[in-house]
Amino acid sequence: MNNPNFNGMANNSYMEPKHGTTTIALRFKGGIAAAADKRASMGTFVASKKADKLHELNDFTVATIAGMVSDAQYLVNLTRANLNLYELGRGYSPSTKMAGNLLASIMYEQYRSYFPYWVQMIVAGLDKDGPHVYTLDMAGGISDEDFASTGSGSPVAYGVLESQWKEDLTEEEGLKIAILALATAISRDAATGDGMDVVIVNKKGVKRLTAEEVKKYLEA
Amino acid sequence: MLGPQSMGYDRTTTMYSPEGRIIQTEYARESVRRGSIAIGIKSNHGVVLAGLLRIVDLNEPDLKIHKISENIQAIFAGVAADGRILISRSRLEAEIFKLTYADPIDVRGLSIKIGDYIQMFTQQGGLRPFGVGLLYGGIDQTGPSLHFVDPGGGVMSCKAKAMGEGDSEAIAHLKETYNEDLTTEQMVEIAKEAIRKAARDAELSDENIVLEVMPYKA
Repeated sequence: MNNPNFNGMANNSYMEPKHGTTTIALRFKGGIAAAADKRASMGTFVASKKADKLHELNDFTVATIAGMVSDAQYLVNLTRANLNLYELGRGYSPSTKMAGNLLASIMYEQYRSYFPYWVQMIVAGLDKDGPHVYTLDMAGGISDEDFASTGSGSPVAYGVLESQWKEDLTEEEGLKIAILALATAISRDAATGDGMDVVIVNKKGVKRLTAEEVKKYLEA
Repeated sequence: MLGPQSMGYDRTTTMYSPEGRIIQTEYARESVRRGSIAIGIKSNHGVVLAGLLRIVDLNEPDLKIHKISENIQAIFAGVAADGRILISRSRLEAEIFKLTYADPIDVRGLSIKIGDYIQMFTQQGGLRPFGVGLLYGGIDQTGPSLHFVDPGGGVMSCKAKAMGEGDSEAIAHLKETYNEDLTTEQMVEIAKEAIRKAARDAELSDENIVLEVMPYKA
């Protein structure tokens, strides 16, 4: 995680992002899969065991959150409201690309006024150009990736993603890799745990996997 | 004796006429009456909004019924540009409410928010009152709800309402046929017939009538 230095602002260690989390998104042929653990931590304390870090932005776009919970929740709600207004005004839904860039613009503006939203997010979904996985940093940077991971467990998850991901994965394969990467992060990162949420987005829209379905992939 | 008009009391909203009327606002209501007819009906089974589309030359007509939020639709009669502003504002207010309370806004709450905004234009100098009447229909915490907002900013809960050109004929038909247990199908028929009555002799096809049905199950 890049740590921007702000003029006139103390760079104290308490301002370091403490995102004890792992979130993952990857694209496969015809959609994306996203997964996140359910632990919210405050230092070494487990503040919540049922935190939801996957959020639907619209019918074909989801976001994962890591970092300051309040900032992230507010950003998700604000983005969702803006995407809704777009859709109401025009009668059709904005693309994943637009959703990601809207959120990046909001974050950039805040960064430039010296009090950035303390988050790292992934915006992933399916639009007419195909599946997209965008990572966003707190400075408002955005990039379109094949796969991405955020949070303290991301180096562990990246190890799995880097070795397993390839072009033209099927939905099954994509899901399996996402879940395996997150399960690995849960095993090796102390700030990640308490189970996982998993969603897929394909041409039918967003679908959240049930606990049983996730379990099936974990045992396979 | 000079009438209030010739005394100039009709030239601003910041001055009452000696009879206590704000004549500019009454003129604004007149521009609602020039708009194409819009109808709303509410029963225990839901809410129906209906409107007449005026198709001029090869212009593609506007939607007439506008989605405000997941559970609320709106229709207006009068100056189209004024209506567009209020529709945008309604959507914004609905999203702000949702952002704040994580629950959708109620129809009455939204109507009052917009009513407050419209009222400002009847008291502040240099502003022209909005030339539109708005009907908000939807299902909310209170069940089916239908509210009318007029150019003076007044907000009224209605069982059924018609506004626009031919509204007196339409209202007569609504009064004749209304009861609180109408099904949505019956309300659709009544709305269509009321629009036909309002349009008098003009030939109307189903293409000219836009409908929005919001059913409610208790």
